[in-house]
Amino acid sequence: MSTIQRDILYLFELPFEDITARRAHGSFAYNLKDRPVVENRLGESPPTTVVQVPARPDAAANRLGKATIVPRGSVFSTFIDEHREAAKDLSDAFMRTTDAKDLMEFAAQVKDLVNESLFIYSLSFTILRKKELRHVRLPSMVEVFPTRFVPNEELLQTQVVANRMGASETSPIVIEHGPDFSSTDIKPEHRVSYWREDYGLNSHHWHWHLVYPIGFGEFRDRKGELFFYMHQQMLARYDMERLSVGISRVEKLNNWRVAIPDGYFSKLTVNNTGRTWGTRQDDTFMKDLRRADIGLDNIDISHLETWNTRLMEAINKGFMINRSDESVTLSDDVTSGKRGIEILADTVEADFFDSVNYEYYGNIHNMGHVFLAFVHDYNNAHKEEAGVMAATSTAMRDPVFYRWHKYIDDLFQQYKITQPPYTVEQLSLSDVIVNRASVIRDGMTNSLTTGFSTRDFETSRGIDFNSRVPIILRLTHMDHSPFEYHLQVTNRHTGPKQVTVRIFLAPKHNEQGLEMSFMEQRLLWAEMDKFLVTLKSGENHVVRSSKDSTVTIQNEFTFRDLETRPDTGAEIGDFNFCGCGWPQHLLLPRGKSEGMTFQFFFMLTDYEKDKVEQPQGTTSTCANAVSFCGIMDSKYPDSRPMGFPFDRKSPRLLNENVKTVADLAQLDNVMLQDVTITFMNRNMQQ
Amino acid sequence: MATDQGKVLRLLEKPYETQRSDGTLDIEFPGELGVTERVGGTPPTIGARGGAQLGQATSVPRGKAFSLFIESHRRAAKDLIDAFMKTDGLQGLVELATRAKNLVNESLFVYAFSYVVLHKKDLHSVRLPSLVEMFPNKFVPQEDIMKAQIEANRRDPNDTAPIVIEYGPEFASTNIKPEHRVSYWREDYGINSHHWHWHLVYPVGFGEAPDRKGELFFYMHQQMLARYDMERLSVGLNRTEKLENWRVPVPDGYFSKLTVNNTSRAWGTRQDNSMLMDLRREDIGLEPLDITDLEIWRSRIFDAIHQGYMNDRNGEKVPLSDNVTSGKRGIDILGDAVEADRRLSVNSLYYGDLHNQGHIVIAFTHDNDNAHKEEMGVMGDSATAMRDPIFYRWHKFIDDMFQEYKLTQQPYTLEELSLPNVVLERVGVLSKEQPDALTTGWTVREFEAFRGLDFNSNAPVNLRLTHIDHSPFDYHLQVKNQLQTPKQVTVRIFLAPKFNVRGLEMNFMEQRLLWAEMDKFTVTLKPGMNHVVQPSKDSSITNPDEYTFRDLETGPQPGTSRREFNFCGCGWPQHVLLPRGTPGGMIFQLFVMLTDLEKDKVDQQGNTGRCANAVSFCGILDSKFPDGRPMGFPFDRRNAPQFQSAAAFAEQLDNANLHDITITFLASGLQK
Repeated sequence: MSTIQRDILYLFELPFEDITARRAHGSFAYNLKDRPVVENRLGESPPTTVVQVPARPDAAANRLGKATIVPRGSVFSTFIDEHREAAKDLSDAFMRTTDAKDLMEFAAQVKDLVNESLFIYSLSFTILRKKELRHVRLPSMVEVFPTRFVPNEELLQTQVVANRMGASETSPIVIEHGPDFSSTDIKPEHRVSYWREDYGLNSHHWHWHLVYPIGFGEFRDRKGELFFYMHQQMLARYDMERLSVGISRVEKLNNWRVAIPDGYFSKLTVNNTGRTWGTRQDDTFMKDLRRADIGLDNIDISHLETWNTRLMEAINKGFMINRSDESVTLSDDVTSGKRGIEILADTVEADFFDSVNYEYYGNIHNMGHVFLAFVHDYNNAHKEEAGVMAATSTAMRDPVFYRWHKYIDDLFQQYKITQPPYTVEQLSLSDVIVNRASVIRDGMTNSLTTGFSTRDFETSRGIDFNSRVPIILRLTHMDHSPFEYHLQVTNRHTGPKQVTVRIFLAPKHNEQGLEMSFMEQRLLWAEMDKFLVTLKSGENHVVRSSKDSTVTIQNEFTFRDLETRPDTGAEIGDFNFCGCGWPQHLLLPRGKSEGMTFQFFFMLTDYEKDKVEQPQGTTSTCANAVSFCGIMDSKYPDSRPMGFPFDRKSPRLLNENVKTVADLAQLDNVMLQDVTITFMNRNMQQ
Repeated sequence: MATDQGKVLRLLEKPYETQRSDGTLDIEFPGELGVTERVGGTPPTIGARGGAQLGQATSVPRGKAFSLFIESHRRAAKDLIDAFMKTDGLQGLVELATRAKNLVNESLFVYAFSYVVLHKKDLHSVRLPSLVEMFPNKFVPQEDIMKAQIEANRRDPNDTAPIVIEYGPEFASTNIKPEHRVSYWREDYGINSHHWHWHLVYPVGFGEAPDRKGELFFYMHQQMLARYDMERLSVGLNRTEKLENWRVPVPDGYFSKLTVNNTSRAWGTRQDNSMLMDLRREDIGLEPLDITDLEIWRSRIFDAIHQGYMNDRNGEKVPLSDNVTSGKRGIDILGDAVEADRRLSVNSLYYGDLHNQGHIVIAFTHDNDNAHKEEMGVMGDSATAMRDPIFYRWHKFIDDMFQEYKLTQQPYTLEELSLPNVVLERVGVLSKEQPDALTTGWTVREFEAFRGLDFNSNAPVNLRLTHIDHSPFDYHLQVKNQLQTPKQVTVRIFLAPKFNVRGLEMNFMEQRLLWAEMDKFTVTLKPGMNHVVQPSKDSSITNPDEYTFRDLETGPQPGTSRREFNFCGCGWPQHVLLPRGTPGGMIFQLFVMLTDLEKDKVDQQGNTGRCANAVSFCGILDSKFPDGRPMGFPFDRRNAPQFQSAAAFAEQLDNANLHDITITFLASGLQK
């Protein structure tokens, strides 16, 4: 581990503890001039590494702008305007530091002045942005904030064990969590809780919003469109999971005047003193929001309804109205400027800087999160904390997240349906023929398996248990056996041909067990991979590992991974990702115990038409999960509308409307293959 | 500290920790139980050693809520108590309890063990420590406790200065809801502790029936409501409305911020506007129960009240009347059937379990079917229920049934009310030499939180609770005894607000349920003029501050009277004796009435008078309730036509007197 990585890394340890608290199992400490390192605990030897941190007048609380307005120990929410402003002010201050050492010293000085989650968010944001920190990696959120991933009761049981433990004990304490989750199967929604409460899923969502922040005035190529697409893809995957466990696809939450049937009790805590996240009972009504105590303006459900009306007006008329009262046309077939979906999404999410007209179209997606986070105590009568919907690292645990995003996605789909269907020319690729496509796992063809695995994290990195032994968190999560895609492709060109391979997966049958029309199946297609291949003239056998998927990342880094990471060499390979990306272990839907039929959809397109010119000097940092997360500081590397070819209504081929996806597969460059996914209900590591 | 008291205290310390022999204890441990049980370990079974049978005592899981309102939990408590009571002497009890402590639910253990300490004849000299110290997590929010834990974790281990958790007077809600204004009272440690003790002294379904238990259930809860309403009027709120429509949302929610155990399992919460739901919680041993069941029970009980009789199991009529010369009074029969005590109810299958099941239905409104694996709400535990505004609305409904019955009784006759030849000429109160002007304000009390929770700290962790209090005062009575001989009389003192929420004086019926009993004592009047002085601290409803572990370890201080040490935890907290009043001074009426002890007295057969400090609310242990009149006399019945107001009552009766006093709330803190 490099010194810079080390000195930055330990700023992420024990976020709720004083900066001077011992880190790295007591071996490391920051020494602030005016705040001496804390005393040795019983049986503890002095730290072997002490980093000196000089006093910093520029790190005083009154020089941090709004950064200190979010109280310590309470929820930090990027969905709340004022919190975003706080994050921007702190990130700006971090960015003003001159180099890694300067950043470390500044951050160490401000850490105990600002909200803990805000600190981690802004520091992470800065590390991803600052050029000289490109090789610094972020530790897993699970280790930084175990309270967001494991019920407090399990953590506290561990504290009790640690308190009682004899001095001679050296074996770690292990907290096992899952696959029993925060609800019971009395409610059908519980059946997918193993998925909603997956650590990788929630960690991804946190990272995604870290990479694509709103209200920071930062340019990100196709940010709005990716907001639409990434969330649409999460919904497609959620629906695949729901069909796997026998429940219907998610219903949008578009009536805000009736009770919400499904409540949620996360059992998680906001901080290290057991402050619980807000809970929501079954059959709770959304309420007009009166939470001035956390800096929110009063807002009514009528506001959401008004914004919804105006957005639908824009979608149905084909243009939005900007601040100067001019029409801004919405179309995805543009040769320059932003696509319509991009304009719409920036306005819906909403980004104060990128919205066409923030005052008029409002802030519907963010405020929906906030409304739903406060249904249990909308007026602070009970001094209750926000619910999990308020934080990106916890929101996806709650069933209402998907219902809300289904509503948001429905706005986007209403727009997408207005776009002309793709033409044969846009869809086909002449002289390239996919003869055969299949997936192979352990020598078996078109038969995939899923099950459970466990992953260990070190909880004592995030929470101080005052324990002499490490506290290990063992999380049970979904997993699958790795597999490979095999494609037999004929290139009839005389020379090599560069093509983009696009792979999607969807269930073959709907809730009633019937095959679906193109339009019914359209929103279920989950992108599995997208990669570039150079086909030589003639026959080609293309093999691609599931582990190389452009939507996923491998496991996140633990503190220990980073501590033992080599300083040089292997960095470019295994360590070239930045936390954003769908968890590899959730690449496949669960399937059924008796096997469930899915369809793999393979499509080859012309790289000449797909490719994007990258500006000079861009690196490919953090480019592991490009389909969901883009590439740091670069353009999104696929020029097609995201979701192509399923983002629009069914095309016409040979003067006939495509009725099912099989009709589309008549194209030479497209192949459809049935695959069975069988849920083994056992540990995949054994 | 090998005294009996010391051994008992050790067993009540740190209820969530498994008992172990760490050298400081002088309890002998059976070998295989000396080892600490780790989380997830399988507990050894006591039966296997051929010792006592614990029956269903282990059926309530450790770390979860224990509720006296749940029948299966009561059975578990009874089985454990029975096992404890069968032990031989203190040593036998301590041995069994030491082993049982690691096996049974923590709250159940403390409840059953406390019950046995009160009832076992050879433990008469042993006192119970404060519930606040045994279960700090039932009195102080989790966050405040955890902050102390963190402080302990961060501390230099050599630093032994106490860590102090300060709590109050800011409570679990905000004043956005009017109900918040009385939260300092609802969340008072003494009130909640009293309620726990009361249900310890008057348990349901244990077979043994303390004298007039059903009637006292009615009266003690009615009195708590009267006091709550006085408090509400003090802070400008309307009186409590009964919760009698169970098909509409309950406007006021409650989020206690407390935890059930030491691993921060949260008590269930209730959002505003929650609906009561049919109960499906077999997971904790409850039979499915519908709101309809409650409605049917209510309708049958009203049938009984309006017809004047209940039907027993054999279909025979059991008349309900308070004017009886032998057997149970109607209110006593009704109280047992409503609470309900399965063994004492006239017909528990028919009249159901209304009061208890109401607590349970309310405790589970947030997760009626276990969809969310949520713990019950505070309404499930007698030590926490009084924190929730809905407790009072539910008990107002229960009380309303009793009042419906009471109004069917004949008004008291002049003969029953008067006392010839005794004239109560003047009454008043004196506090700090000020006549008729009382003051209330805040004070603090410290407890040792580390007695209940293990903070793994070398420094003591203390709890500093801010609570309402008042300056002590004396009642002064001028009484003329016109007889030639001394006369023994009972002095009955009540307090009520003079004005209703609209600022108007009340008639007898409107004010009737606001009268809070302040004291009741006997005096012997010599012939001629008498000046009777009674200190407020000697009230027959209150007990002085509860004992801390430290108090009990050091024993009674020299000079402590036997009376002061002779209480057993049950009793209204002395510091909440007075309603808060208002900063500008609020006018209350003091009502004093003298009655003939000859007519009031009850024949006690050689009882010991144990635990006799708060007799009006708690009775006397193993003895008869020492007042022969119906509880609440003379306000428990409707007025006779000639008494249209309490003032008219006092004017027309020589033995009664009414006097205005002012209670002023000094928000800045109380100077005692």
